[in-house]
This record gives sequence, structure tokens and C-alpha cells, in this order.
Amino acid sequence: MHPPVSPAPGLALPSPWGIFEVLLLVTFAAHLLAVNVALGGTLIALLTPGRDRGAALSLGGKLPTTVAIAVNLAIPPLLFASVLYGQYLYSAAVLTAATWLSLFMVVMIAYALLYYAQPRLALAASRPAVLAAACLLLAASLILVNVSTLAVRPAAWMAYFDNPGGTVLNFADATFLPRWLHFVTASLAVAGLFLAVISRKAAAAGDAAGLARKRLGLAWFTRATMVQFLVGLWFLFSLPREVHFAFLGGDGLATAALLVGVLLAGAALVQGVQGRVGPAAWFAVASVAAMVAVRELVRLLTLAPAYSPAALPTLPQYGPFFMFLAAFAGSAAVAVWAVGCFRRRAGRGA
Amino acid sequence: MEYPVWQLSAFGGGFWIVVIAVLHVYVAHFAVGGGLFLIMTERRARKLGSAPMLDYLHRHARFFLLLTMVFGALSGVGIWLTISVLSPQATLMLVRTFVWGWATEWTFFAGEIAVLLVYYYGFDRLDAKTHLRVGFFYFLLAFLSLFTVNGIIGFMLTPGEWPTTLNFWDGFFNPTFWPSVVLRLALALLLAGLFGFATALGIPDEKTREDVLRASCRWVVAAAPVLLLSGFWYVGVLPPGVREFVLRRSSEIASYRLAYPVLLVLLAAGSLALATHLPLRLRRILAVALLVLGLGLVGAFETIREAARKPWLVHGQIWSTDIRPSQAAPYDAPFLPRARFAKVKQVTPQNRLEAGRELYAMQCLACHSVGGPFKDIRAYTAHIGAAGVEAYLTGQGKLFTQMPPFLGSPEERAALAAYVSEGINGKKPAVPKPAEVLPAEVALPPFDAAAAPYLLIGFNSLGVVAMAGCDGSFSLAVPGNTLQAVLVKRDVMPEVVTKDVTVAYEAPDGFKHPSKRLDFWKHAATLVGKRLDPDVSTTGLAPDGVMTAGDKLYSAAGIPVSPYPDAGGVNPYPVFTLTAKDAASGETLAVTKAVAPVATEMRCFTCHGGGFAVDGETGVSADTAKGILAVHDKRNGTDLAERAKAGGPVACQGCHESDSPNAGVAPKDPKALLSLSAAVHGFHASYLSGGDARACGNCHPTAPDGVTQAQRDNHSAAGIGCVRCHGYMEDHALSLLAHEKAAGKKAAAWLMAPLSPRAAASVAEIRPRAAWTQEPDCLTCHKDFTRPAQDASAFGVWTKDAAGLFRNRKEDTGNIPCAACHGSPHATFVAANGYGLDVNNIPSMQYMGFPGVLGSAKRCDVCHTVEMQGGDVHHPNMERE
Repeated sequence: MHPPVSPAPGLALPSPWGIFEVLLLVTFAAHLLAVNVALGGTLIALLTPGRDRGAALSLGGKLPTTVAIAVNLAIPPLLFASVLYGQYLYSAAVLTAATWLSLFMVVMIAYALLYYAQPRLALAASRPAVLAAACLLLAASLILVNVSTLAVRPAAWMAYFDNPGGTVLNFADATFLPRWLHFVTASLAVAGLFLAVISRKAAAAGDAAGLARKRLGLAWFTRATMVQFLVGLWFLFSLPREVHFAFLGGDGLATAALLVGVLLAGAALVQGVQGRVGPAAWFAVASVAAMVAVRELVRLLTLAPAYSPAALPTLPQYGPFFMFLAAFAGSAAVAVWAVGCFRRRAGRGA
Repeated sequence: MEYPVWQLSAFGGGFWIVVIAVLHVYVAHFAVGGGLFLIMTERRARKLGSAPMLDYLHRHARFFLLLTMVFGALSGVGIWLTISVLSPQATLMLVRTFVWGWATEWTFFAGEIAVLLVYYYGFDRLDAKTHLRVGFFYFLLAFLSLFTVNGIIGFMLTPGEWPTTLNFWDGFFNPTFWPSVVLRLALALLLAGLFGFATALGIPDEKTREDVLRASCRWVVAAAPVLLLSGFWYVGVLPPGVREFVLRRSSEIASYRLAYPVLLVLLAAGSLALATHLPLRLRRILAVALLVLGLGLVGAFETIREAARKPWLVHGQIWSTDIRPSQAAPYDAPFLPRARFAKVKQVTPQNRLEAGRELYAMQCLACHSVGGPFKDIRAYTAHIGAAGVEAYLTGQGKLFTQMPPFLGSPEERAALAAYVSEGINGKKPAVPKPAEVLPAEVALPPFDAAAAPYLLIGFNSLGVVAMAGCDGSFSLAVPGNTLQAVLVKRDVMPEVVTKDVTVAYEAPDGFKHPSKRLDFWKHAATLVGKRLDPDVSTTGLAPDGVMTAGDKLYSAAGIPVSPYPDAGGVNPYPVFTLTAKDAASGETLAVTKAVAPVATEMRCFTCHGGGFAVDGETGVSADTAKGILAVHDKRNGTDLAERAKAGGPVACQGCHESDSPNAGVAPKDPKALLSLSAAVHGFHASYLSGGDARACGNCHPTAPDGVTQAQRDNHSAAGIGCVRCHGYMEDHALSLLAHEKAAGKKAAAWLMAPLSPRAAASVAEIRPRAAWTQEPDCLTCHKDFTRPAQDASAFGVWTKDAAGLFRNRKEDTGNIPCAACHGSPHATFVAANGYGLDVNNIPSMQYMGFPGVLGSAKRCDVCHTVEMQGGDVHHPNMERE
């Protein structure tokens, strides 16, 4: 059931696989942070809008842009994951095509609802729109967990023979529920921390409402992170035996990556409990980055030894790679300049 | 073959990609052109110092932001998701080949989002210069995004040198890159104008409103001619084969090709109307209509581009089915065992429909939905049964290359055909219905072997005349058979007589008015170019008449005859009476009977729909004929169906020369088109290849359970079918086409290309032959008139010309035609079918009392009044036991 590596034209990698792997990790971590803020922020705005709906206003004002950024940042990891694991990812996508295809529509509607709610956040009447957006974003997370778990379990593809209509759901997979909860919990934690970060200045300036938002954000962060240790353990032990053994000393790199991720999360938690938003945020970002590496190792270990992207044929051509680097630099420069203009004007009180 | 297939039904056939892609392309192009519209309008507003215009622009920018970022961005992701589930292999190929292109495009997209957000949220916050600069960068990044994606999309249609070099840049800057960039940029500007209308109509300030409307109009009117010219440029740079397909061969593209310029004209005209002072309400309706037309324009262009690629996703690399040719080879090897996600691996009688369903999902569903809005397979196959579908599958991708070839074994092909017919169209499996045929009673005139002074032998020249019987639609042959007769004056040394003797022929009762049930005479003027009296043939003969005396032979060429008796029913074997009389005295010298077989039994409906026209047994029905003409018109750009509908049907042989005795009409330029026989066999051979003699029975009246049973000669009884002399369908077609090719007819090579000879190792070894005048030579097998080997084959050795044909040859003394003693072609004695021995062996039954070659079993006394001994007078080996 493992798709063979085809030598057909167009299937060789144009650069060494490691380049794609690094880019996948970096861009996925960025995407994950944005997604965490988008989903967790929507949930927090819905569940604890705060006094005078301050938290809802503060978060909700940024949610549409966060979704836009999250969607944009979804593209490179999807691209690089396709390059390295396309045959697995696409096979899984076909199996659950109906849900996979609905993903963009679900996110689109959620995005539109958040835009709709944005100017109405001060009113409780915005709740239905935020609630609908939250449900849709949670649905999107389920869709992604479904595909992600299917993509690394070719044995589960047998379900296709009884269900070729693109509605295979991988709920029976032992990792499904803990993996999803791991993600949702992380979203609540990161979004809480995000709320604290954006409320930090107001809090420091003595604004009581800002301080309340910061405390609320940190409360979400610390409590969700505490829960995350339990969920994380559940997730770890739900992984196939040989995989979770690898993270418990069986494989040095895997064990070290997990340990670093957990330690960073612990450090973030400690900083959070102490109310130190800035260090907590840095540790959290680092922890997410480490956990993205852990996630990648889980995929590699799960697919091994049948498949390794390192074994893919390569036909290097570096011109296009440099074009990408140049375009990235140029676009980033323009974006930084534009945002800088905006912020400078804001700083002038315009 | 390596991936599962999303088994949709109604929403198969590319439904999702068409819907999502067209809408995305619409908005994505607006996202580019709209960017330029924003900054140009802002410049104008600031130059004029128009607060209402700036206010409008702010609102327009919000609309722009929401539409392009919410729908545009997400639907772009949607395309990715869609293609990955519909065509995973092709997607992976595009991803890996162009990963840095995609990544580059992403950077532009990311930059777009950043600067667009700054542009919108900074509307009142940034100074004018900076704001405009931000807007400019937005447009620049949006255009670069289009520029990048354009290279990859163009690659799919025109990979250029990439298949050879595998170089990114060769694929990216492919032949359609630049015309496509220009076209898409113009499209983007046109759409910006259209959306400008939609939002500007809401401007309360009239002056500003009209100003923006006029500006929007200029965008559309300026972009329209660029779109038209770049469209020409685009088509002009296509590889010749693709261009030919787009401009001529693709029937699907034709309507979109027409729609494209029409829509441009309508859009330009509508835009001009919007810039006038029509009532606002009317202009609002018009603006919405123009947005819809704009969507139609995008749809037309994208459909042409997608359709032009057929049958490829990536031209020359991956078929629309997401299968690579290299994966599929050999194409006729069993497919299911090689398909990773096939549940059924081997076709059995029990699982054939399930196997067919799997094959459908893997080889058809990518383009053909089941009951859905896109290329519903029912629309293409509901009129035919499994046999017809199987023929289409056999020929798929051979002559017309918009579809890939069917991949799989003959058993899998049959399973797929059965699934389409039974599983999708709900038809019942075809059950053979043998025609009800009874032995015919022939009142043979008495013959006194001891005293009869004359012997009159009658025979027909063709064995059977085959017509379509749908003269109201078209004609393949005029209704007429040729009867010939030899009058032998019996003696020790008999003499063939033609002097002072007349031989009359008389149609049997019920066959004297063939015009009653055949439409030929109604349409003779257009079919054969002259009006004919009812029941009079193109050669001027009536059902009753007098034969023409020739060189030791009487002949009546083209007696009008039909298989339809006046009173109803079907009888392909009307028995005529021949009477020889002394010309002077009128005394009857001899009387005999002769059958003039005629058939309309063609099973065209198998592939063209409809059914038999008469009694469920014979005749091409009007529905079937309509289907045939539709195919001819579609493939050749003719208007035959329209002409037939208007009462002016044409004869095939009026354009395609035919040397058949029943042609009845000749084309003005016989060299212009393939001969009728070569065209018909050559075309259908691709669809009927791989078969045996039963394939012949699809069109010829040779089916053993049919109403005609024309294959009734002694060869047939010995198990020697059509192919032993004429070759298999492929061989037969190749021999005819090779002759046409040598005559310089271009279409021959096209029809020959997909055919593989079965009787020879290569096409070069197939000997060409002219239809009707060069036929298999009997003496190829019957060397020196001996009995041939069991496996002898006459294929490949043709008579030099018409003089060498069995029907035109005589025995060694030059007196008696071969057919007089041996019977007509395809009815040589002993001939037998469901109509019995009498009607099929009249001369021997009349003169010898038993069926056989006249004079066989040492019955020389049929002609000779003394016992004959020794010598092979008429031909060698006459005296074999």
C-alpha cells in the first residue's frame, strides 16, 4: 500500500530534501502560531469576552487579519509538505475528499463571519457570528487532524474499499482525539498569551481594563498549558509503540526534541505564572517551534522504514531557488516598509 | 493508478474544479486589475481634490479587500485542495517541478496581503504619496503573482522544451507564456472596469458617479481589443496539433470560441451604454449583467484553455485521468491488477459490473459525471448498448485524440461497457433475437433432361445487394440488383445462344412496386441527381423487362428491387422468373428462376443508436441515420443532417467514389475524398479492431441469425468466414486505405495510423487494393482449381482489375460465366441458410434435382446430350471425385 517512488519526469526534487524540510518546519511553525491565535482567540472572545467585552473587542479586532495571515502562512507548509510527502498527503486527501474540499469553504465562511463580527464586537449581538466562526474553525481543525492522521497511516487507507466517496473519517485512530485536543489546547494557550501580549502596554500604563485582559490572557495560557501536559502525554502514548518509544529514549534526536519542547513549554508556563508576558511569549514560540520539529519526527518515524523523503530522486536546479529567495526578500522588504509606514503614522497619533 | 479515486457521480467530470477555478480566476484577476484601478482612481481623486471620489474609493477598497482576500485567497487554496483530490499525480508533478515558482508566488501573495491591509486601514492614516505608493506596490505584487502562476498554468498546455530538458525555465517561459500574460493582464483590467461599474453606481454624488463610470468604461473598452488580439496571438503560438484541435477538430471548443469575441463585443457595448445617461435602475441591472458576462468571458477562456489540453492534464505527460502513458503501457494489458486502489482485480462474469464501476471511476469519472452537469456520460451513451460502448472504448483515443485510449484487457473493456450500459443507463443485457426465417418455396419450372432443347441459367452478379434503406436520410447504394442469364442450346457440343432470342425477367408478385416502401424515388433528385419515375432504376429498368443480350450473356443491370414486399414483411430473396423466347415466333424456349437478393440489414444502431427500421429485423432507421449524420457533420464539418431534414438527403457515393455496380451516382471529383469503401472501413476499423468475422456482421448482412443470412455459400458451411479472404477488419481497411494513400488522398494516412495489421507483420506488407475492382482471387486458395488446404487464406492477393473478378470471369472456353455453374459471389453452391436450399441453389435444383455446382457429380448431361469423358475443358481438375 506504499506508493512507490516514481522516476517519471517531474517527480524529482529540484533541490536537496533538507531545504524543503527546514522550510516546512519554519513556515509550519509560523502558520501554527497564527492558527492558534485565530482559533483560540475566537474561542476566548466567545467564552470569556471579558468585562465590557474588552477581551472580545481586543482579540476580535485582530481576528480577521490573523485568519488572513494564517491562511497565507498555510500555503508554504502545504507546498513543502506536498513536495516531501505528496503521495501520502494526497492519498489521504482523496479518501476524505469531501471534508478536505470543504476546508477552504469552512475557513472562508468563518473568515467572513469574523469580518462581519469585527465592528459589532462591543455588542453581545455579535455572539452568534463569533459562535458560528468558532464552530467552523473547530470543524476546520477536525478536518486537518483527520487528513493528517490518515496521511501517516496507510493501513487505514483500506477503508477506501468500503467508502470510496471521499468521506472516510479516521476517528478510530488512537491518535485522533488526543492530537486534536493537543491542538485545541495549544490554541487556547497561545491565544491567551497573545491577548496578554497585546494588552501588555495598556496594562503597563495602568489601564485597569488592559490589566484585566492581560490577566485573562495569562490565565488562559497557564491553565491551558497545564492541561496540555496531560493531553500531550496522552498524545505521546497514543502514538504507535515504536514511535513513542523513540521519544522515550529509543531515538536520541526524537527524545531530545521532545525534551526541549517540553522544557521550553515549562519555562513559558513558569514565566506565565509569574506574569512575565514577554519571556513567556518567547518561550512559547520556541516551544511551538520545537514541537513542530517533534511533529515532523513523528511523521518520519511513523512512515519509516517504508518511506523517507531523503530517498526521493533529486534533479537540482538552483536558479529557481534563488528566484524564490529574491522574491521573498523583495516582498518582505515591501511588506516591512508598508507596515512600518502604517505604524509610524500610528505612532504620530494619526 | 497509484492513487485512490474520489468516486463522485453527479459531481464528477471536473465539476468542482470548474466551479472553483472559474470563480477564483474571476476574482483573482480582479485582484490584479482592481489594484491598478484603485491607484489610478485615487490619483484622479486627489488631483481633482474630490472628497466624494475618495470616499467612494475607500468603500470600494473595503469591498475589494473583502472580495479578494476572503473569497479570492481562500478559493485559491481551494483550487489546491481540489486538484490534489481530483488529480493527485499531476498535482504532485506540478508541485515538485515548480515548487520554487509556487513558493515565489506565495511571497508575492503574502506581500499583497500585507500592503493591501495597510492600504485599506491606512486610507485616512497615511499621507497621499505614501498611500499611493503602497497601492502601487500592491498592484506590482499582484501582477507578479499573476506573472508567476501564469507560467505554471501555461506549462500544462504547452510544456515546450521541458520534456526534453526538464529545465524549470523551459517549462516556465513556455510557448504560451507571453500571450497569456498579456491576455490575463487585459482581462484583469477589464474586470476592474466591470467591478468599477458595480460599485460606482452607488456613489451619491452624480458628477463623481458619472466620472468614475466613464473611467470604468474606458478600462473595459480599452481592454476588450487587447483581449481579442492576444487571444489570436495565444492560439497562434500553440503547437500545430493543438491549434488544429482548438480551431477545427474540437466540437466542444467551437461554442466557446464563438462566445469569446461575442462576449467581448457585448461587454464593450454594455460598458459604453453604462457611460451614458440611462436611468440608474437600468444601469444597475446592466452592471450586474456585465459582471455575469465577465464571468462568462473568464469561463469561456478558461474552458478553451482546459479543453485545448485534452486529453492531457500536462500535455504529453499525464492524461486527464491522472495516469501517465508510461505507467499504463502496455495499454491492452489488464488494468485492474495494476491499479493500487482497485478492489476487483480480475473480471469474472459475477463481478463484471463491479469491475466496470471501478474502471469507470479510474478512467472515465475525471471527465464524465454520472447524471451531473458536466459531460454526463448518459448524454453520450444512453442511446446505445454495451456493444456500442465497447466499440467506442475500442476506438477511443485513436482517431480523435481528445480522449485517452482505454487501458485494459478486452475483458475489462467489456466489463466497463457493461457497467455503462447496464449499471449507469439501466439497460438490460443484450439477448440475441434470431430473425424468424422460414424456408422459401420456389416453384421451379420443370426440366426434362432427356428432351429439353434449351437450358436457361440465371444468376445475380453480387450475391446480395446491400443498402441502408434510409434514403430519406442518406443512401449508400441505389436499390437494384443485376440479373444475368446464359441460354444454352443443349447438344453433344452445346452452344450458348444470344441471337434471335429474347430473355425477359419478371419480378415476383409483391415486388413490382419497390417505391411503395422505399423512399429512394422520393429523394432521387438529391441522391443521384436526377428525378426517376417510381419503380424505375437509375439504369432505366423496371421490375419487369427484357434483358440485354451481350457477349454470350444476357444481362439486366440494376433491376429495381427491395427486400420489402408490397404487402409488408421482409423478404431479402425475391425470386424472378426468366423466360427465353424465340424473338421471331415468340415461342418459349426455356424458363427458369433467379433470385435477386437485396438487403438493408445493417446494424448501425449498435453504435449510432436507434434500431432496425422494419419489423425489428432490418433497415437503418431514421433515428440511427440521424446519429450517423450527426457524427459525420461533427467530424467533417458537413451539414448532411440539416440537408436531410430539409428533404435533400445525399448519397454517400455522391462524394466518396464507389465502383460498386449500385453506386448510381459519381462524385464530381473522384480524387477529392477517400473511396466510400475505404472511408467506411477505414473509419470503423479503429472501433471494431480486435474482432473476428462477427465484426463484419455489424454492417454487412452476414449475421447467421439475421433476416438476410447473406453469408450462405459453401465456404461458410466449411467454417470459412469473411476474414479468410478479406482479412480481419484492420487488414481489410489497411488494404483499401493503402490504395487510397498511394492515390494521394491525405485522409488515408490518418485512418491508417491507429491500425495494426493482423495478417502481416507490418503495414508495408499489406498489399493495396481498389475497392470493388480488386478482390480476393479464388485461385489463390484453389490453385489449379484444386481443393485448398484447411487453413488457406486468400487475403493479400488481389485480382488485377475488374476483369479478374469471379463475377466477371468465364470458364476456359469463354462461354459460361463462373457464377452460372458455381453460383453468385458469397452464394456459391451448395448455398444454404434459413431460407432453404431451393432459393439458394435454383439452377442445380431445377436442372439436377439436388444442390451443387451445375454439372457436378458427373452431370455433364445438364448441357451435353451425350456422356462426356476426359479432359478438363471448362477448367482444370473438373473431373475430381
